[in-house]
Amino acid sequence: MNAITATITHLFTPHHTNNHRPRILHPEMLVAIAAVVFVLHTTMQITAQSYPLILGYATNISVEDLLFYTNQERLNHGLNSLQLNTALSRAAEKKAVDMFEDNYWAHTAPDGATPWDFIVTEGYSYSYAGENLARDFSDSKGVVVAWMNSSSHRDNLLRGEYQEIGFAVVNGSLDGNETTLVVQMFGTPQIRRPIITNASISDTNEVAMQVPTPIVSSNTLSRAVKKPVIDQASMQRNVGYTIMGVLGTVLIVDSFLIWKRKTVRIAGHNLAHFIFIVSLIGFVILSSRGSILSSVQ
Amino acid sequence: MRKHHSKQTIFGLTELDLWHHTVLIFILTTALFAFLFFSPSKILQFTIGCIAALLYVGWGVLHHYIDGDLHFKNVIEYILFAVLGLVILTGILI
Repeated sequence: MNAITATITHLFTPHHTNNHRPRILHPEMLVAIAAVVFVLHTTMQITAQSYPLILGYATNISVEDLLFYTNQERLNHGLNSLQLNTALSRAAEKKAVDMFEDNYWAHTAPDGATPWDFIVTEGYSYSYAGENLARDFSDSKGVVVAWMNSSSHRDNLLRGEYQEIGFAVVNGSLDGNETTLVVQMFGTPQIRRPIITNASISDTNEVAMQVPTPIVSSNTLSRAVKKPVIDQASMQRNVGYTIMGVLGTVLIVDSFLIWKRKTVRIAGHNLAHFIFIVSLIGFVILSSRGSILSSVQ
Repeated sequence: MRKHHSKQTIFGLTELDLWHHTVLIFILTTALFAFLFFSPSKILQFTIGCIAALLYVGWGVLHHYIDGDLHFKNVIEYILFAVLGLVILTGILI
């Protein structure tokens, strides 16, 4: 018991055995921690490639859910619900596949093709059109919530002129990162079709059930579901949070004890390291957010 | 050592230290906003992380130089914290 207490004291508090600086803050220990994290991440990457069902990125996004949440938001704002259109879904699919093939994440392709080119190519003549994009999200509701939290995406999603919608949910690799792309394309045909109003719908669930079945090809999924035993992204973030949590706590304890004991030593300022660790936690939190883009015509 | 001539405020930090740390908070907060702004690109986000780490080391060197207690050991410590941060960020972003 004494040995355990002595080890904890030596590792995490300033003591005469560690030259009055917690051992975990010594250069060799920081190098060791960085090396362990690096080896751990590398091992996870290799394991994820070989055994994606055990370790991988968890995803659960479906066209049905995206349509449901989108229409729910529109109905909540007194707008018409949108009908799933196969031409718009095909355009969305081709846009998503094009982004993976040419490795870009933008409304306009490197060759200058706009979302409207994809829509027109599918034979859809529009009077109004729009596009919302999302990537790196793990569930459908998260995608729609992110769109609603962004003013440009919300304006697009809640545009009253739209009558129809198309979706594509596509898995692939962008910038070397495995991801799920969501393409949402809005449209209003030049020849107007009757609008389903809020008053004519009693149950939003029915809206999602009544729409045509979305198109499915080898590249496109109506539902992207991946449930590995261990979610790689969460695990990597948790490793980061744990290390930063431990280091942050040790820095606070060290600062307090050094100040209390009036110890003089040569070392970096704990407050500066603590500020850096807090910002690093911010970076990790922000990196867990998916990305969105919106465009309107 | 200029530090010992300055008035101590809290936890042994001088008024000058507090100003320096305010600058550090400003630098890293700006980096966080840039990180958020460039969220569509993981590569750009990683670049911002690298710049933030470099600025952190630069800040540490300058801060200790002004304080008159710049030591090789300090520089190594800032570099190692920056490297550890980048290793964690690399695993998450790349």
